[in-house]
Order: sequence, then C-alpha cells, then structure tokens
Amino acid sequence: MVEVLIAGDSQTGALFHRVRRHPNVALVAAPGQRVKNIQITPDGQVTGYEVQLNSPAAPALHRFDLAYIYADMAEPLTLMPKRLHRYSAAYLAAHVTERLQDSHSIRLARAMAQVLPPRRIILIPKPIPLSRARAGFAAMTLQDATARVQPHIGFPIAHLTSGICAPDGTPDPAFYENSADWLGEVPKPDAKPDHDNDHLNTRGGDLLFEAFKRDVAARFIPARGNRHRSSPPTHPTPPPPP
Amino acid sequence: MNQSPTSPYADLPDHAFWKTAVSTRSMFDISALWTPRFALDATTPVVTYGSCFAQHIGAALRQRGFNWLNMEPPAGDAPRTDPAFHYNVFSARTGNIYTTTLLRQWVRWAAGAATPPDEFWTCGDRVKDPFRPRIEPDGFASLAEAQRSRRVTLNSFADSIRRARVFVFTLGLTERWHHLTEGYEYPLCPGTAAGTFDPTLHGFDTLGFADTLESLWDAIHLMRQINPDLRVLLTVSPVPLTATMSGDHVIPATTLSKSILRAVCGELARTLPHVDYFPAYEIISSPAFRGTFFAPNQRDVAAKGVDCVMQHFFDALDTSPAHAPAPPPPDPAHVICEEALLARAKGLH
Repeated sequence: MVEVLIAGDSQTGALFHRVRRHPNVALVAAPGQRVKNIQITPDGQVTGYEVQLNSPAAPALHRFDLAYIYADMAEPLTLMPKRLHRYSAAYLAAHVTERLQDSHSIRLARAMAQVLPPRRIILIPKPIPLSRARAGFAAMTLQDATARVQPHIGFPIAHLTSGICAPDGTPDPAFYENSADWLGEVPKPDAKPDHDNDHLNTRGGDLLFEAFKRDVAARFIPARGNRHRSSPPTHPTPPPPP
Repeated sequence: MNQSPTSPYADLPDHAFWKTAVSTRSMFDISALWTPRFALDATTPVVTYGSCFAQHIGAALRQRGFNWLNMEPPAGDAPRTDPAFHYNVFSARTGNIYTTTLLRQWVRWAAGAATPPDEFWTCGDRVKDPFRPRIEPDGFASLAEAQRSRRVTLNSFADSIRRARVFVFTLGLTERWHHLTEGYEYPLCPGTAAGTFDPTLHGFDTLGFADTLESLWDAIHLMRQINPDLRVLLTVSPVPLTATMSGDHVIPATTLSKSILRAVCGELARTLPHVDYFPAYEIISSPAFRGTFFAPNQRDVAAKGVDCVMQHFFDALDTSPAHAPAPPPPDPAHVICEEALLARAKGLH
C-alpha cells in the first residue's frame, strides 16, 4: 500500500473528512502557523504540527512513499510593499521568484529532502492567484509564479486545481469560504475580513482530494515499476538513532 | 642682534613632509590623509552618486550603520536580484553618473529646470532608457513602463537632494557622448550597452578643466537652491579609463582625465565652504601605495584597496561606528561598471 504524507497549514482543513477514510494517507498540519513550525528532526521524524490524522506521534518521514506539502507558497509575498507601481514587471518577476524560493513551504521541502529524494516531495500551492495575495500585482497568477520557481527549487509542483479554479488560476467562489473547515478537530477560527474566501470548503476539498489521488497514482506507479526492475530501493536507509 | 628668521616649514606637522609621512612608514601606517570639513556621523543623512567607485562608499556607509538614504528602495528586503536591477547601488536608480555634466543634467531634470528628452531605445520587444541603459538587465516591458520608471527615479533623485545633509559624488570621467543636435548627454556611448550608434546623431567630446569646473559648480549651486543646508563631499574614482576615444594612449588619457577631475575638486573645495574632498584617488593611485590595491588587470580596485580607502574615511570621521569592527569589504566583483563595456566593443573582456 502506498503511504503518503500531507503536511500543511490551515488549507488542509478541507481535506480532513476525506483523509480520515484513507488510513494510508497521514496528515499533519500547523493551522495559523503556515508550515514554519513543522520540523524534520535529524533522525527523520516530523514534529511541530498541531493537528494530525492517521499518524502516530512524530511520524517517521522515511516510511512514506510520497510527501505532499499543501500550503500557501506565496506567503513570502505578504511582505512585499504596496507601491508596486514603482517597479518594472521584470524586476517584480525576479523578485517574486526569489521570494517564493524562500517560502516556509520550500524550506520544509528542503528539510524533508534530507530524508526523502526530492522527486518524492511534492508542493501543492494554495490555489489562489497572486493578484489576490498582492493587490497591484495582478499580472502574474500563482501558476506563472510557480512556473518561475520550479526550475530553481528541485521539487515537483502539483497544480491540483482542476474544477476549483479557472484555467488562469482564478478561484471559483463556489468552492471557497472565509475560514477553514476543521470538522471539530480544532476550534474553527473566526472569519477574518482579510481572509475573504481564502480556504476551500468541503466541496472544494473533495475535488482537491480526487485530484490528489490521481497525482499519487501517476507518480507512484512508475516508481513502483522501477523498484521491481532491480533499481535501488526507493526508501533510503534511515539514519542511525542519535 | 638680529635673530635669523625661522623657516615657516619648521613648525609644520609630520604629515606635511614626505619623509615623515611616507618614506619612513609602512604604507599601512600612513594616516591623517583627510581632515573632514564638516560633520558626518551615523545620524547624518547622506546620499551617494557618481562613477562605479561611488558604489563602494554607499555600501560601506550602509554596512557601518550610517544614515545612507535609499530613496528608491527595492521591494522587500533586498534579495539577490536587486543589484542586477541597480537597487541599493546608489541612493536613487540613476545608474553610474560618470561626468560632472551628466550630474548637472540629472540635477536640472530633477529640479524641473530642464525636461528629459523622450528618447528611449527599443531592443526587440523590450525598451531601454538611454540615460540608464543597464538598470534593467533585459529592458523594460513597454515604453510606458520605461517612462514611469524614469519618472520614479527623477522624483527619488530630487527627494534625495532635499533630504540629504551630505551629497557624496565620485567623479569618474571627462570623456563623454552627447546628442549632436539636442545637446543632452548619454552616460555611455550609444551602441555599447544598448541602442544604435549613429555618427550623425551621436558626438564625442572631452571636457576640459573649465567645462568640468563650471558644470560641477552649476550642479552644486542648483542642488543648494533645492536644499540650502546641503554639503557636498567629492571624490575622484581611482579606476583608470577602460578605453579612450581621444586618440591618445589610454595611460596619458587617464592621467589627463583624472588630473582635470582632481584639480576641479581641489578648486571647489578651496573656494566653497560647503564642499570637501576625500582623497580616495590618492590612497589607491599614489606611488606611496605602489599599486598594491589594484587587481591584476591594474585597473580594478581590489577589495583590500576599497577596505583601506574606507578605513581612512571612517578613521578621519572619528565616529563611533568607525570604531566598531569593520565589516567585510564589499566585493569589487559586484560593482557595476558600465564603462567596462567599452572594452567589449573590441572583443576584450
């Protein structure tokens, strides 16, 4: 059975009720903390999360075939200034590319890469256009930005927004709500004015999870085929205990 | 009995004599090269412009925690891409200002005393600003974007004059290129970094002492009309010419150019109380320093040279930041020297 880990922030709330029905999918989340508190210990354990499903305490990362990080990859852009009209499109594109490479999501991916091969760590960007995240920077969608980042980071990026967003990345409001749906796992945070329709609702979560399963299948089946052709084991040797 | 008059040289300090100031000292013990005319401490708003060597002064001021004004800051907190786009290089995104006439042109535009021309260059589907040809590595996406960016820079440059207490300017060249009919000046020969050279439109000349003195005086006068409290600190870039169009060998052409610039600085510092000169040029180029601070190509200034210059600068200011541990010297490889492109025109790198 394929063992998959999803690590993320409050965005993962919409996936909860589907993840519960799939014991081979573990989920760890740090809602409200982005993913900056999630850490990988030297012996490969995942720590720092607040919520988990289908997972023992401090799961060992090396037991998973694939690890997905579902969070707001555009989060560094929240530090960008407002007066973007001062800058050229080329500069902003270069700046965004650099900033995105320093997101908490990619830092977590780099930490995971100490345990898992980078090709098995997949980033799922939070499906919102950057124009939503950064007023005044409407010229670039999240897909544009992640396409710029992709060659630099060494991790696959999965756009699993089919049915949830328009082809240009614009979210369909029917699948969004003001705050995360945590299904009683944690207190549902109050709706925030600046989080207008910022999280997927349950219907959106269903669509996302279906896309996620298709992505797992597409990635894992070739990997398993390789394993059966006497290629090196895909599970790296766990580091010795400290 | 008449006492013979004592020579006026008798009471001069050690630094006035070559033997005691230079010959009997290690070059690294040479001191008291500069006595600042006006205060410049960590709180003094200071801006830096000029040739490529001016970038070192701005960087050193910033690293030492001085109040270096960045009137056209990059987005966010200065990622690696910023210097390529000329952010954090000078106090506004002017690019290198090599000549005193180019400085006067920028000041006139910023003060509204003259209007910048509408000239922009197209490179494929990109647009370059002839007066800042390298601030966007790949050019602007549109003419409107290039025009908007130039307006932003002119406003930032004007703001920097208004808000600064000390305006540091490094003089670099006397050779220049200008538009033959309109008269305005380019920072770099058209066709070098961008644009197309047209001998019917683009002319070359060399500024002499009088032209250099007058244009720098004009620029300072106009800046002080904007900000009467402004002080000006001049330096001369010790970096030799990359190439000369004068017809002379590049060595005498360099000597002539630097001599004019140095003499103008001396003249203005001697006659205007709000102008001072810091001898960065001498620290690198004087025979006392034996060429030690030049890179192997004998043109670029090595990091140790920059560090030595700035150590003299901060030691003379005698401010508390100067007594803090010196940060690593800026890497000269990161200095943006548009003039160096002239050598590429001949296939020299």
